Amino acid sequence: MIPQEVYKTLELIVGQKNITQEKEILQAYKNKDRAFVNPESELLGTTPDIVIMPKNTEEVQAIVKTANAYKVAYTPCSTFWTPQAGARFEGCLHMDFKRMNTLELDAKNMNATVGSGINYAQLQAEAFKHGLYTVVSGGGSQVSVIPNHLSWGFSPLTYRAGLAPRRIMGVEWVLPDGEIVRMGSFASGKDGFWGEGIGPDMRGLLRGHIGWLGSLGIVTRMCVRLLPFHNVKLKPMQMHRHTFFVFPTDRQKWYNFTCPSTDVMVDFMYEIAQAEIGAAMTRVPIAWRFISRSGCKENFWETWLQDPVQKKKDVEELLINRVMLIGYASQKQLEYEEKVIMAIAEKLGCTLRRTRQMDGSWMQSGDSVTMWYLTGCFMSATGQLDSLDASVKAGAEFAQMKLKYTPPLMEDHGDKGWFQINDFGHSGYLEFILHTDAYDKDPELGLKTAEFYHFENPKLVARTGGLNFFNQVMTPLYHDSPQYGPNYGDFARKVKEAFDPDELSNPPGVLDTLDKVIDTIPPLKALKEKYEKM
Amino acid sequence: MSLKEDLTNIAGADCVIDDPAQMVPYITTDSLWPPMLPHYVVSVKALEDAQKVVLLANEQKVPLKPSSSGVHTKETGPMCGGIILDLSKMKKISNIDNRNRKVTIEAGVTWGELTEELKKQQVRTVMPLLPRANSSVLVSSLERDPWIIPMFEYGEVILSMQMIWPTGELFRTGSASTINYGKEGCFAEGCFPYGPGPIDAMRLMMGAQGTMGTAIWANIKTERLPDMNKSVFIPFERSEDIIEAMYAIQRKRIGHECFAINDLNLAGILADKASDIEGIRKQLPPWSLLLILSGAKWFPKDKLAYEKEVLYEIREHVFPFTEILDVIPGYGSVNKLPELLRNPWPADKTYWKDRYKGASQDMFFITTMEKAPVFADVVMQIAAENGHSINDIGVYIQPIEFGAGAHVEFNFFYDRNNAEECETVKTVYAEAIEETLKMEAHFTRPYGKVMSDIVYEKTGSYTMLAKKAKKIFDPNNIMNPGILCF
Repeated sequence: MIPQEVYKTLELIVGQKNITQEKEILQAYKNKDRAFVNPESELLGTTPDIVIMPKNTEEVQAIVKTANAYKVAYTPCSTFWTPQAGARFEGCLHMDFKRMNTLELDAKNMNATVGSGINYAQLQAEAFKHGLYTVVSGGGSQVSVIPNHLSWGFSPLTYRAGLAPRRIMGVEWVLPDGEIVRMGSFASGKDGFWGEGIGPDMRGLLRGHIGWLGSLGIVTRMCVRLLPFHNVKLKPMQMHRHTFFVFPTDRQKWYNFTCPSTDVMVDFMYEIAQAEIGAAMTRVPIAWRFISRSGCKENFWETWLQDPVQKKKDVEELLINRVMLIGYASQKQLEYEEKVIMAIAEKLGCTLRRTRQMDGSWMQSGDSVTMWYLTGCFMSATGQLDSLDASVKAGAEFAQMKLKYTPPLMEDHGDKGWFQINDFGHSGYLEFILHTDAYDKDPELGLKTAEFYHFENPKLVARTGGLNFFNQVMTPLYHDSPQYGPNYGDFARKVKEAFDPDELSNPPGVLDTLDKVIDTIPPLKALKEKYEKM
Repeated sequence: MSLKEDLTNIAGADCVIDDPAQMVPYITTDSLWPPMLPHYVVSVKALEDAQKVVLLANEQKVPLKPSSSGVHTKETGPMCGGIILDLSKMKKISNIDNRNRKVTIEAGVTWGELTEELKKQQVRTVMPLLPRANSSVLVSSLERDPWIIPMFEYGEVILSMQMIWPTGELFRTGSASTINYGKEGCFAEGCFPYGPGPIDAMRLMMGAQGTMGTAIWANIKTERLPDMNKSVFIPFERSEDIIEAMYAIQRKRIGHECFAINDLNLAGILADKASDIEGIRKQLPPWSLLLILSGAKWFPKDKLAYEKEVLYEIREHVFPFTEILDVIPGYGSVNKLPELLRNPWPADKTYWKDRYKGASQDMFFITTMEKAPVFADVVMQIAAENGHSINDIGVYIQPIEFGAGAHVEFNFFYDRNNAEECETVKTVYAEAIEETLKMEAHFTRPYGKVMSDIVYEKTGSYTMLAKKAKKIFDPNNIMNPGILCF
């Protein structure tokens, strides 16, 4: 329990209305079994002792300094999306940032400075008003902008808009000891329009291919890069799960192409990128089509398991490359790009399919929740970026390995993963999405699932050379660190020890969580020993 | 065993220099504040040898400064003696990969060498404004030289990298970081820049002037070299107007090379010989916008047509008072621009910044484009007040990332042999840094002791963070000490 003296001190910082220990409210912040159902949330997930809602950087600083003075560990949280955004230890001081909802948009210089409580729905809506856009990540528009830029931040739009680390500009960062650091152009003034540092770029401490997930202090304000869009309003339609935008087809269009083989689809993507056209493109896994057409979970399952032979054939043969073109500059740009894409399609023997000119996923991602409703949870085996060719080759290997673990993993009829081209063709992305049944508590199946995620899968990822976005919630550091860098964990550990020697910032940190979980659960520890001998 | 013997054991006697006369090329710089002579220069050709030198420097607690080419323009030379680790013989260009649009280059590969090699395959890398042909591409990329193509998509050119931490450990970044990279069964091609893990070594190395580690090779982005172009020249009387034009052009994402430059700098670039500079300058407007529209691989004429149409629409609304021209007064057709701007400055010609008066002290920072004219006014005033003719100042404004920011550069031209001019430029330079810093100029690349001392003093929390990071990764403070805030 956090001492009352601490509570009283914190109350003085934020005011009586913005701090609580009321049991009913604390229960609403309970972390166990929320969102990603994995051993981390099941084993460590708990209920915080105190929930506090600061308003600004100075209040966050005062809270963190108080926490340091009393050696109280704290968890920062913006939109509760991951297990790390909730209490995972007893005596947790939980910071909820929903009051930190400032948003200042500089349309001329294409950036927006946001507080920790701003989510993508809010930012994208403002950006559209000025002919600008950001990348709403696959997690959905309810996701908070700052932590997503610091941790993941991925969608097919990154083909033109780059990866999230590139779009982090000025940053205001409360270090684990409560000191405030201003980075990028915030170091030189009030305008956070620029991200690079003075000399060495200290954004290198904030995130690599993954982030710290709250275990290296708190970013309270961030300026993010926005990019030029067209200036025609996207018309929103309907108000339920199938909320979507109608595209202005003189400036923005989808094109779905059926490709004769995976090799041709990959060549198609490379050709489009080399032609320097397009705003986004992605392979459409068959399951997505079923999700999109189903009205509910039950409806999905009624059709998904029917006629598995035909489904397998569809997975292998119905190869759809979905491309978005945008006339950023003019309608004639769109016409030019359409001419190019049709010429490439003709050359490669790809056929244009009927395509509805609307979007509920990528521009503002209203339907991301549908990824959960199939089984109640999902966790991808990998989300990795390298060349597109590397992505496709790795996908085939994941599909092969998955057979051994189906069930408990959800049947997907041999799908080889979602892949897309990225960074204007300089890289590709593979995400191998997997679902497990969140409601099945059979310990044997649970152990098999854990074996897949934490032991078998990391081996495959490392052997094939993938740099997995999800390793911080999936792969123990003892396995991962020697495989990359090598020994990236040693260097990251030095940073953690220098900045947070008392480990008060959201323990256990990303470097330790999985190792701790594995060493705590005897069957997992036994698996660890087994795999170490292999 | 002496340090020289140790170095000789690593690299061979022919590759170790301790004769001050032979070291001069390694510290020659156009700076008014020359660096110190090192005690040794050691040239290596292999990663393992470079690592041994770093380990030795740690063991002996000797300052170490990596050096990648024979050109030292950035005032990053040693401030504390020690060893210069010469990587200029590491010149391998490999894996020109046109499918993923990348190439692998070692630290010693120069702009001249890479440009020629890539041309053979109709590809290029983005380039700063006329870099010296014998300067290092990898250093240019790490040091965040501004590219003359402001396309966001072409930026962040380093895709992955082999480096040596200051403590001597070898490390690869991004998707080349897997230990199986290059081995059978591993698919990684080194196309992704970040990580591994929650820190980003590549970012820490960027802009670090050799203080955070040693880069040995990198996979960097390449792009198709367009074979159909439409160059334009747009004259402006006022800097405010040229800025608005660039905002509008960049917002529409049209064109490749795009920048603004004042008459003196443009004349310095375009003149056949130094004596022609004044003549050409007289014919040029105060400000020039150079823009190259480029056709793509498919239907290049169609692409040029829509971009040209957009450009003329912008003119109608944003700068109807001036013309879009095909000829640069005093120079000729704009059709020569792609050849000029897509190659480095020839090694056998006096560098364009040195043609006017023999030398240039450059001051540059990042700001938003709209503030550039205000900065220009202030700098000109400081120059005038201190007796440096405003006619002897070059200005270059480079939009970055579709104009979301800009590199603003002032070139104070002076005669190196004129002691009075040198002193004046020193005064103007320091005062201009002080004053623009007060106006929130963002000095991302504080080259030289004068600039870095002023800048780091004013940016307290960031300086504290940088010092803390330096201590973590370079506990013996051997990597180029004294050059930044540590």
